[in-house]
Amino acid sequence: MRKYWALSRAELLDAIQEKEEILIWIIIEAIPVFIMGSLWLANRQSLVQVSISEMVTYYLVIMVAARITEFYFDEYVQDEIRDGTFARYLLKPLSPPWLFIPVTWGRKLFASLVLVPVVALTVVVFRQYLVFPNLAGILLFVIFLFMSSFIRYSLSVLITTAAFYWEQTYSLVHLRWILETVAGGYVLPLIFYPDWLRFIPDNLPFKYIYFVPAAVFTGMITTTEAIANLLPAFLWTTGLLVFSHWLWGIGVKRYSSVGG
Amino acid sequence: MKTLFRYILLYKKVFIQAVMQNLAYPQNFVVWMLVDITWAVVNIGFFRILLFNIPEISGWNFDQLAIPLGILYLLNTVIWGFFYGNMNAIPEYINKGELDLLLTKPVNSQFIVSTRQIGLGSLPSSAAGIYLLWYGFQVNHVPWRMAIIIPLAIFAAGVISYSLWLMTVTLSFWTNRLYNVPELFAHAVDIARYPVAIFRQPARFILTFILPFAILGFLPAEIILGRISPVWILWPLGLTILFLFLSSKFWQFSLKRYQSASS
Repeated sequence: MRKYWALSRAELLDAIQEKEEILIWIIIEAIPVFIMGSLWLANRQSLVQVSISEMVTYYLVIMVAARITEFYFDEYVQDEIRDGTFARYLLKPLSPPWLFIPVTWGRKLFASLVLVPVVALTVVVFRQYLVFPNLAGILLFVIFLFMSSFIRYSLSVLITTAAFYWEQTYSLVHLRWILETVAGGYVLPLIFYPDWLRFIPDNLPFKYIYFVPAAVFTGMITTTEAIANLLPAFLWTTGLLVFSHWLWGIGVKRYSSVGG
Repeated sequence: MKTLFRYILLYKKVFIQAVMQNLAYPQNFVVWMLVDITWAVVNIGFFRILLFNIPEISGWNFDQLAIPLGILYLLNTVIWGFFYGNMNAIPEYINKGELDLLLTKPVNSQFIVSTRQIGLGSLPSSAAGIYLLWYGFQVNHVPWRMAIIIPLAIFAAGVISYSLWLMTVTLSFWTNRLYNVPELFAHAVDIARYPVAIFRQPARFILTFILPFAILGFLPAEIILGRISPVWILWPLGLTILFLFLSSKFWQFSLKRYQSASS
């Protein structure tokens, strides 16, 4: 366990060194929140299904959830697989892909700290538009956030695994991003989707990444509905985790690199 | 004139090489096309869904929105096809010292870093753009002569986007590492998909005059729909000169900070 702690700490120190990059990520994540927040504030009289407070809180929660639950190692590990430097993970007493969890969390810790003043400022500016859940809501929110994190981890493992077969998989990273954004409810809460379309994201795991946690927090879905979502979310999380690791095991056997 | 011809010839060679590069990874190329089609469908669907729930966005219904969105899809082809790969590579050139190789070539450094890569995966976006514009012209009964505004608008939006993007990426000279800075513009340009009226001041002022995302798609659309005079197209066209000049000056200025990594 100590080795993973050391890895995490090393990544944290690395992240502090690259603080400008973290700041850029936060600005990037704040852009859709800024756009959608402005859009709903400008058209608040048109809102029927939800209140403007729920909408503003929804986007704020999404911004925080995106930062806390994200995994992005698929973006750089695929390069390492292609150029052969991935061998360094296999030669050390570490267990990929699990090791990417402490690596990402170490880096994310600093990013989350940077996010605190941004969120605090947003809370102050939009305080009259914010809603907060009760204790049960907070508990459910945390549970869903935890599962969201593992779903995103599994998706990253799946995309990284594709790099064992294909020479370039950047396009898959973008595909994941599209699915998370649209079917996950990043830009628009799924309750706005017409019934015939809602059927699609309702039967995919992406809604547990953003929509369900944020809807639980804001009260867009009731506690009873949230509890009913726990089992399918758990099944998707464990299913994806097992499936992605199984595929990874097959993929890593195909890996070959030039020694030096 | 001779110099211009030399650069055109050089760009032709770069283009051929880029096409070959695209086809070197066929699976990735096909998936990029699929991603682009998906993205186009999803974006159009997003506005459809949005406008199921609200009647209009600050005075724009879906039929009217089809025109700025069509222009922006065509712009998307330019942005992702001609700029994204190049802008993405600049921070790496700077951080790893690979810029040396380009600076020593007998061509303008800004030209060479801006034109080395071309992505063809974004071509489906142009089909989506053309469809939206055709739809927008039909349902809004816009005379076809107004289509003359479109190439001017794409040209102006393309140059302004390139200049803004290059200026943000040039910030890499001023830090140790800034690999994700190209993503900043790629995400910020999404602002152009919404009418500036949804934003409050001072954001509205900034988005109109300083970072003019507001004029990339919606200003030409307002001209096409006859809401404002066609003379207004001179504004984005005039800005292209200003922004190109600023980006070039900033590139030259920042280049002085470059420290080579070679031995």
